[in-house]
This record gives sequence, C-alpha cells and structure tokens, in this order.
Amino acid sequence: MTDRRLLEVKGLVKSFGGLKATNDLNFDLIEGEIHGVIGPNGAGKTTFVSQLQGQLLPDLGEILLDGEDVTRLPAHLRARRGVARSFQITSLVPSFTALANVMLAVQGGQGHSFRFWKRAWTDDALAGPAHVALATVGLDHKANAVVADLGHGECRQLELAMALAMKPRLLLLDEPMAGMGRKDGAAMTDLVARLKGRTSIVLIEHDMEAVFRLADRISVLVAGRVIKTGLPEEVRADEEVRAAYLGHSH
Amino acid sequence: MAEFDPHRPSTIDRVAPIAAIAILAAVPPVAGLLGDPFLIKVATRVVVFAIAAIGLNLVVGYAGLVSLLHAGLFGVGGYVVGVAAWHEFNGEALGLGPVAWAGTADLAITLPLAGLLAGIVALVTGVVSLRTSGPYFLMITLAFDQMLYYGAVALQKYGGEDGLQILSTITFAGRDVSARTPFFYLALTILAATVFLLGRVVGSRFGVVLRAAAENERRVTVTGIPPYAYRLTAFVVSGVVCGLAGALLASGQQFVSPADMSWVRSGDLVVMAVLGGLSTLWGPIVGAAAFVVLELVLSSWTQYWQLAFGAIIVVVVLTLRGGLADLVKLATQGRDAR
Ligand SMILES: Nc1ncnc2c1ncn2[C@@H]1O[C@H](COP(=O)(O)OP(=O)(O)OP(=O)(O)O)[C@@H](O)[C@H]1O
Ligand SMILES: [Mg+2]
Repeated sequence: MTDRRLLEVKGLVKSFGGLKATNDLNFDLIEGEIHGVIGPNGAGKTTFVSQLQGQLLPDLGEILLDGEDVTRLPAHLRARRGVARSFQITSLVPSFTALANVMLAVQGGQGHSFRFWKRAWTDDALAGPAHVALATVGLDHKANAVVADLGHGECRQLELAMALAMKPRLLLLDEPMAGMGRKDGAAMTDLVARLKGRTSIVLIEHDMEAVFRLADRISVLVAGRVIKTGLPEEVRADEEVRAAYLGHSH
Repeated sequence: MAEFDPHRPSTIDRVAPIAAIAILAAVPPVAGLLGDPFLIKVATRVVVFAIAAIGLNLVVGYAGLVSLLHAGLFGVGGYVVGVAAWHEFNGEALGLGPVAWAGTADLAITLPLAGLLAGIVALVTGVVSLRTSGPYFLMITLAFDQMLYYGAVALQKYGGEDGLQILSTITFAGRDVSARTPFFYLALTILAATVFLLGRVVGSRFGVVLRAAAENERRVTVTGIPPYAYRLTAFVVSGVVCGLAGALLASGQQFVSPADMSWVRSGDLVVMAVLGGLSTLWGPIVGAAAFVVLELVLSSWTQYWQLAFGAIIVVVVLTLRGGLADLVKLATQGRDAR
C-alpha cells in the first residue's frame, strides 16, 4: 500500500440549528485502505458521509479528493469523480427491478444520459456491467425481481451492487450490515473483505467484530469529532475510546 | 439478454397505441356510412387532446411533476396559428423588429412555429418552476399559466377576451386541409408521430432517468446524474407537443381564445392523463377519448354533468390504479393481469 492520500478532511463543521453534528472533524483516507468509522448513535457518522458525498454542504472546513478541493462540488460531479455511496437507510428506485436499478448506476458512470433513441433495456453496455455487479454481491439470481419484492438483506446487497457498478475509487458504506441477520451480515462482511484493495472504502459500522476484522485503520467519532485514529489494536486498547464508546456498548 | 426492465412495454403496450390509432383512422369512413359527419369532429377533438395529454404525461406521469401550465402552452400554439392567419387574412404585415412578416395560414409553417414558441415558453417557465417540487411546483406553474392567460386577454388587436376567429382557409404545404376529413387525418398523423417518437424517448436512457428521478431523486443524483437538466428537457418537449396540439385545435375549430388557456383547462389535461393511466404512453389517448366523449354525452343529458363526471373520475382513480389503461389490460389479458 502506498501512502497516497485519496481523501483529506480538515476542520469540517456542520450545524443543524444549535447542534454541531460535525464539529471540527479531521480525517484522511489512504488509497486502497478500508478506514472504519465507529461511534455511538447520533455521533454524526451519517452526516459526515453525506458531506463527503455532497448531499450536505459543510459550514466550514475543506474536503480534498486527490488533493483537489471538492468541498462545494455538487453531488453528481463527485459521483463522476468516482465517489459512490450506499445509504444507511436503503435508497433504491422501488418500481424498478434489481437489474434496472444497477443499470441506472452503470448509466450514471457512462457520462450524460441525454440519449433519446436507443432502448435502454436492451443496451448491453448497461446490462453487461450491471450483471457483473449483481453477481459480485451474489444477487444475480434476483436480477428480474422488483425492489418491492426483495428482502431487507437483498436490498442492502443491491445498494452495494449499485455503488460497485459505478466503479468507484472511493466507496462510502454507511452501515452496510444494518438490520441484517447473522448469516446475511457475515456474507456482507466477506463481501467487503473481498473488495479490499480494489477500491478505497470508508466503512461506517456498528458491528464491532466486523469493523475490527475489516478495517486497516479505525477512527472513533464522538459528538461530531474524531477523538482517535489508529490501527484496530491501538483503538481497542485506547482508554479514552473505551470510556467514550466501547465501554458503553459492550 | 437484458430484457428485464419493469417498464419494458408489454405486448399490450406495443399493440394498444397502434390499435387506438387504427380505430381512430376508421372513424371518417364509419361516419360516412352512418351519415353522421359530426363524429369526425368528435374524433378530431379526441386526437388533438390525446396529443396534448401524451405530451403532458411526459411531465406528469414519467417525471412525476403535476403541471398546471400546459393549457397555457397549448394556447400559445393556438395563438401562433390564429395570429399568423389574421395577418394573412387582413393583408397587414406583422412587424417583428426589423423584419415584416405577411403571415400565413399554412400549417407546414405555423405548426413548427407553434411548437417552437411553446417550447421556448416552456423553457423559460421551466427554468424557474423546476427549482421547486410538489405543491410549490403546482403553484408556480399555475401562476405562469395565469400570466399566459392574461397575456392573451391583453391582445386587444387579436380579439382580447373574446378570442380570435380564423377566417383564412387552413392549408398544409399549399393543400387545402380545412375540410373535416383531411384535417382529421393530418391531426391523426401528428398523433401517430408523437406516440412513436415519445415511445422511443421514454424507453431510452433519458426516459429511465426521468422515471427514476420521479421515484428517488437522491439516488439518481448519487449515481452522477443531476435530475434538473433532464426534467427541464422533458418539460420543453412536453411544451412543444402541447403547442402543436393547441395549434391543431385552433385550426380545427377556426377559433382560439384565452378560455382555452385557463388553469382549469390545464386541470382537464391532467385529468385526461390520470384517467387514461399515467404509467403508459397510450393511456392518455384512452383518457382523452373518455374525457371528450363523456363531456359530450353527459352535457347533453344534464347541465350538472360535471357532477356525474367527477363521480366517474373518483371511481376510476379509486378502483384502477393505472387508469382506464388498466381496464383495457384486464379485458385483454384476463384475470391474472395484475
Ligand atoms: N437533517 C438534519 N436536521 C437536523 N438534525 C440532524 C439532521 N441530520 C442529523 N441530525 C442530527 O445530527 C446528529 C448526528 O446525526 P447522524 O445521523 O449523522 O448520526 P449517526 O452517527 O449516523 O447516528 P446513527 O448511528 O444512529 O446512524 C444527530 O443528533 C441527529 O439528530
Ligand atoms: Mg447514521
């Protein structure tokens, strides 16, 4: 692993009314690593991810992607630069099939969609990569199922397939195992493990076992601020982290 | 491979528009047999409103944005035909800055102009209104429609509130199309072209973006596609189509008036689309036919026809989620259609 920083976040602040959901947050991501982000409920993890992806704009601070300032760049342009996200609360196109959802993501990765003539659903340039992404997450057998007919675990897999279909350089995973059963959760953990090295990942996850297994480094987010970043062993051993977080949840 | 999109037109979706156009095409000979030329007038009205409703449905059904502007765009198309014919008839040139235009009653010129002008108005109003959504979008499009309406009322030279009579003989590329039957077939040809072209559009990548953004805007954005530009394009296309329909209505009844532009008329167009079914391209044809025929039949029975009409709409919307198009599907596919 080189030490090239794909992502750098400096002094990020985001307030909702009086609440500082992100409070002078510093963070960095080395190309190729899985960087776990843990923290108690309401710590500001999702808010942080939303600012990285562009759905929310920070009040202060800066976000550098590849050394370039993307702090105010609209979400769709960040997506074009290879930032993909899976949502904590599943966010799909409900009336589309699983395949059509992934085809949409492939389409987004192929430049503008001002194409009015060729039929999208017979376009192998969309369907081909979409099938590959579905197969990667183990959902190809449900390609024809409408989202409404998919189970919760399958929707989570589909979220990930959509993100992967964009061939992301930076993958933002917001609790990909949330609400999954033991078996599905384990399968998802294996899947993320297989992605290691193929892309850089910010992994938010409540399942400690999974994070400590997957992450190269871990940052602990408490009250909108990173209180500790380090190797999994260092974080596990840290007194402040135990007091602030691990002690409560275990 | 790859034939998995839930919106892939089913066999019915492919056959129904062709069948609808074939049925309409049979109206003039049938009217001849029955000795009832009035039927052709009715069918022309159905065709014209079907074009408008299909155009509007691109925005309402596919993009999920309920617009109350479209009667205004419809009227813009009508006034293009009316004003051009007025100048031709009165032998008074229309001064457009440095150029003077003699006007014309030839639809080969005025139809494209009507589409163009309605498209420009849609672009200008769309740029503003598409920044909003839901009830705000409804209110803004309503406000723009009112502006167009009062704009037409203010055209004192062209009849103002009373509207504008078209006294020239309407032609198409030099040929007289003012008689019922040729005019009907001209309108029907434009309907067929609209169905065919928009059929490609809604199945294209562009169409996929529209539908996906209607259901989940955020998802579309994170895949790298900003919905706004796509919605605006759809809005302009639907404006062009409504402008063409308005031009045809004005030509057919040789009259255009601000009354056709009121937001209530916009509501009628929305009702046609909803009544027919928003999720198919051909639903609005059924909706327009049902609307025009019901209006005619019910209003001949009672002056309170709108009461009965309202009741019918309520029943259709409550029982058939896909509008009357669902009824056609059920009838042709049997019980397991849904
Ligand atoms: N749009 C918003 N408006 C107002 N407050 C918000 C908004 N989004 C988040 N918050 C608040 O900001 C804080 C951080 O929320 P966030 O969702 O980022 O936490 P989280 O770490 O992702 O929590 P969880 O573990 O429950 O997912 C919470 O107190 C939340 O209530
Ligand atoms: Mg969260």
